[in-house]
Amino acid sequence: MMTNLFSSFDPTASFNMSLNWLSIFLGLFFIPPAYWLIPSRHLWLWYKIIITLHYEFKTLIGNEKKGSTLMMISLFSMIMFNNILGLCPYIFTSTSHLVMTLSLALPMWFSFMIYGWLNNSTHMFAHLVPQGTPNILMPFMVIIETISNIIRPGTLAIRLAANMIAGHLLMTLLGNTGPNLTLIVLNILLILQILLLILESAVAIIQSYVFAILSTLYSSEIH
Amino acid sequence: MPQMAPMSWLILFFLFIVVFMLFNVLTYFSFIYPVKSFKKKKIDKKIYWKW
Repeated sequence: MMTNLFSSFDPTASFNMSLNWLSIFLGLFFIPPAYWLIPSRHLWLWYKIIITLHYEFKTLIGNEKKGSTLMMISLFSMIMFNNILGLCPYIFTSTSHLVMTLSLALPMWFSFMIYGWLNNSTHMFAHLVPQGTPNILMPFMVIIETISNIIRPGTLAIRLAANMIAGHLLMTLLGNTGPNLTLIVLNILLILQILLLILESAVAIIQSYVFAILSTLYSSEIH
Repeated sequence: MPQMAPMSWLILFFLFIVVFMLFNVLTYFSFIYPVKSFKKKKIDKKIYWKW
């Protein structure tokens, strides 16, 4: 029953614990196990995706840091599986909640900041004024860059959560008009819903990619 | 039915961190051993099918 616009995002509680948060574990079952010497096609496909992402992130991070794309790739896969599985009926979308997105974005940004300001404080100060800024604008640029640096985890988290909420909300609202419609309009609605679902599954992948690549970008700015 | 059900942010935070670590582990171990490519030596005879 929909009592509220946002009730489809409510985690239902039982045993004083929201069991539908367990949907974040579902993605683990979709990553193919690498038990065997000869890879299955599923693993091969997943490996190809991972390698492509690795090269994508590597160009941002640079070659001197080894193994730093692992975290970003797993971040991408975790968010992507949550987004995509959330589109299936009766599966809870945990990425539509700020708890999830903030708890991914905030510690990462915080550790980047600590690392950067402690180890490369000159670089961090240098980042506050972009190259080619006129002398008059420099104080303002410092303020603007500082603000944009501080709100980064918030924008990262809100971007993902808002995208997920918007898509689900649109589909729920359109779907709820169904029982009142005539047959012809209902068919149009069905086609529209299918198109929306395709769009949303694209958005699910794109947003997870955006989250991962922006985190990579922020991590590359600290050294 | 609870509207805007209360969420225990700290517990969920730790849950997400743990699941993120699990994803890290899975990604770490999902690799494919590089396969050495080898070519079969061709018998390079000028006569192919002559008894």
